[in-house]
Amino acid sequence: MHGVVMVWFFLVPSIPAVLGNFLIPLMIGARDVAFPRLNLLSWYLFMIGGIMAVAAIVAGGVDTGWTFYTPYSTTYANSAVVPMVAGIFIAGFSSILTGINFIVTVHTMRTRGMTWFRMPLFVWAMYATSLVMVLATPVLAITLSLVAVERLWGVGIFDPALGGDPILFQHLFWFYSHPAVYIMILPSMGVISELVTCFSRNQIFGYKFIAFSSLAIAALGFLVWGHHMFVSGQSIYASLVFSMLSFMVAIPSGVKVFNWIVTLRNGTISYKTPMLYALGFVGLFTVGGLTGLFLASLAVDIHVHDTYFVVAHFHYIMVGSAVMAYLGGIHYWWPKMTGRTYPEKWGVFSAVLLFLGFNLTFFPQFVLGYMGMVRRVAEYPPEFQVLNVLSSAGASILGVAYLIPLIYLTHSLLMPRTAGPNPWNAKGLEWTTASPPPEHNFDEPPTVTEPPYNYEQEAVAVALSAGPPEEGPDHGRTGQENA
Amino acid sequence: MPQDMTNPNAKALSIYRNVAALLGLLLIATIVARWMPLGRLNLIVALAIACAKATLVAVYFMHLRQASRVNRVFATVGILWLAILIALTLVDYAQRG
Amino acid sequence: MTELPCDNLNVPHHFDDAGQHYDAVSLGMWIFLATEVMFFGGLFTAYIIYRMRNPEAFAAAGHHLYMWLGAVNTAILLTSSWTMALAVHAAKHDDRRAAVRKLLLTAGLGALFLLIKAVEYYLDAHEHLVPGATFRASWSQPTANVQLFFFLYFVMTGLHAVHMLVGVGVMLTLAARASMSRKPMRSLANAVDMAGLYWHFVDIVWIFLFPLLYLVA
Repeated sequence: MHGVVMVWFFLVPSIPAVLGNFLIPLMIGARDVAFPRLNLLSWYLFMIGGIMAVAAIVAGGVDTGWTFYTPYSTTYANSAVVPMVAGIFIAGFSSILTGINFIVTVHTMRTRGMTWFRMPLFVWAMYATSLVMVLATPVLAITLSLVAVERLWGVGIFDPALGGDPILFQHLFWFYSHPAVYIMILPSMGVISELVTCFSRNQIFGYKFIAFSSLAIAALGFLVWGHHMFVSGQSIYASLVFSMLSFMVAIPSGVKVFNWIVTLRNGTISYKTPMLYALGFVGLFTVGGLTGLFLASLAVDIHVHDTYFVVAHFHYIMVGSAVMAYLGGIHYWWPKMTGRTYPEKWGVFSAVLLFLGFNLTFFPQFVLGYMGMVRRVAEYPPEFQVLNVLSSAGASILGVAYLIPLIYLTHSLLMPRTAGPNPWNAKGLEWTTASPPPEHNFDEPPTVTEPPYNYEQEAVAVALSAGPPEEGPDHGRTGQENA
Repeated sequence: MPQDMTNPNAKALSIYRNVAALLGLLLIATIVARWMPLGRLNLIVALAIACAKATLVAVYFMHLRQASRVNRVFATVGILWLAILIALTLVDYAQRG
Repeated sequence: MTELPCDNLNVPHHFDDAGQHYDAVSLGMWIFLATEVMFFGGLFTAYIIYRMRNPEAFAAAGHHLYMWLGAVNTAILLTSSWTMALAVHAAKHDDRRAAVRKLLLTAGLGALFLLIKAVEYYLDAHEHLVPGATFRASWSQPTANVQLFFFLYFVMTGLHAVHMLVGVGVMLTLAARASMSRKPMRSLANAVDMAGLYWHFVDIVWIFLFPLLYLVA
């Protein structure tokens, strides 16, 4: 259940819905997304799906895991499977509609001069994410529908008694769910590209490599799903193919990490809250990504499959990376979205606390998993107690680190709108309009003549050293960018 | 049909009519082929004819011929991605009992 | 290449012009159709796998479908694609009467398809071919793999029928809007065009369902 809520109702929609909807039109100089009413429908579907999922939780929840493996989910489970998969099905269409909207927006609504290679990398990342959303999610939809049908009517194609194969469910499920993890991480990578450039006052190193690596991750991500099924009974030759492809899909992610690091190295870093989240991302994503390679290796996976090693791996990516990027993005664009600023010192404190709490929570889980602690069980052998207690302690710290921004960000909404159009002195079309932007985003459609991230090296980051200004002269540029 | 139609108009309408006729012929071919004893080729022939019909509908009725490049790319991508799903799943099933 | 409907009537505010509007809606529809390919695709994948594993059971089962009803339905759908193309043509050429007539004709053919499908389902049920407690395959025991075929048959044609129903509804709605509106027919051209793409797609799904389900040799 934690998995269901986190995957489908937080990680998949968070950056696309909260940041993507707002930023994509701004970043390409458009008045709105291509289909605003479809966008609204997407929101309603998300809410309806969410309410159904909550209803399923209230009705007792599901004990199948977010993976709904058959025949347990179809035949033997006595939990609220049907309402839960219905909620996920509906939320899935929310995802699909968002994906369609973003792809069409990027193709057809770029302003004059905004060529593909002048777009911010966040837009490239969201475009790649949208490709995955539209191609993968429908398969999830049909697969969960089949689970519901089999549960409701007692017949289906996953029932061995009828000649069905439970592993077919796994193929169909993971065909979506592996690309889904790229839906969850690609937007975060886009955010990081924005943060790293602004807070090191530097052009991005290897723009085209990063842009194309997003597309490569989206495409290659569809070819690796069998690495979730190494021990399910999948043929060994298929496992070999999937293992090799899984190693390959790590390469474009590596390209991004190298390029961000070089960007940082060549720049002048300012340690503002968003940058702290971004730096945390770079380190934690490296750990998460590399441990993914451990899992892609057949021999190692046999040992650590279904242990806490896997849990630690994906939490390094999903929490250590995706959530940190989300928070970094929220803090960075908070002034733009709301017109308000947040208290920088509390921001720094929470970011550091989060990093510490996160590592205390999840690093011990790598050790636990390697030592043999399995996942999805209610009890563990006593020799694992110390590490588990450490992990729980870390989780409490993590919880506090989430609570603090919740409080100060909410509190900032009670303050007057003093942020100004460009408190970070950042490049990008979104910073050329008011905070928050008018209804059609720009007073006049902008014309683009500059490459993206056109930062010059500034001897002293004057505008940034004092944090976002409470009020006073605006340090950014208003109106159109100069040629 | 009105007599004062411009040429492109009449041309388009006759294309639709010809495609429709061709589809009808292909349907007859599908049924005739079903009764021919071709063994394993029956399936291949049936699917080939189905592909031909689908292509005709897509190119002429759905105007893929005049569509922009990006539309044509997405039309292809859908089918290509289904092919990926089927192919890699078959990699597993082809080697199991 | 951009196909321009005749003028910039009724272009929503966030678009620059009718050309951009058309590019957006047509790309949006093609992407949606790609998602539909993947949606049906899961079922086609299951069908392919199970047919590969149970060739005789599937072949024997397929014989018990009503092939001629299926063939007639195929002919109906192919014809309806033709009438749909004519409707789009008429809409773009501002010919309200022809467009409305062709839309109604398309909807009518679709409804006829659904009627025949309903008859087929009724006959299938009568012969105890619906998987579940009532299933009885007189020609084969045990019935395990045979039920797989019929499950896939009902789900695939059923999902297709749902899509057809939506399509018929859309055509009727468009016909009603076109006949009652005072705006020129060409202002609805985009809507009819996009609905046409959807209709043709549903036809293409059936083009593949027919040989796979009804013509198993």
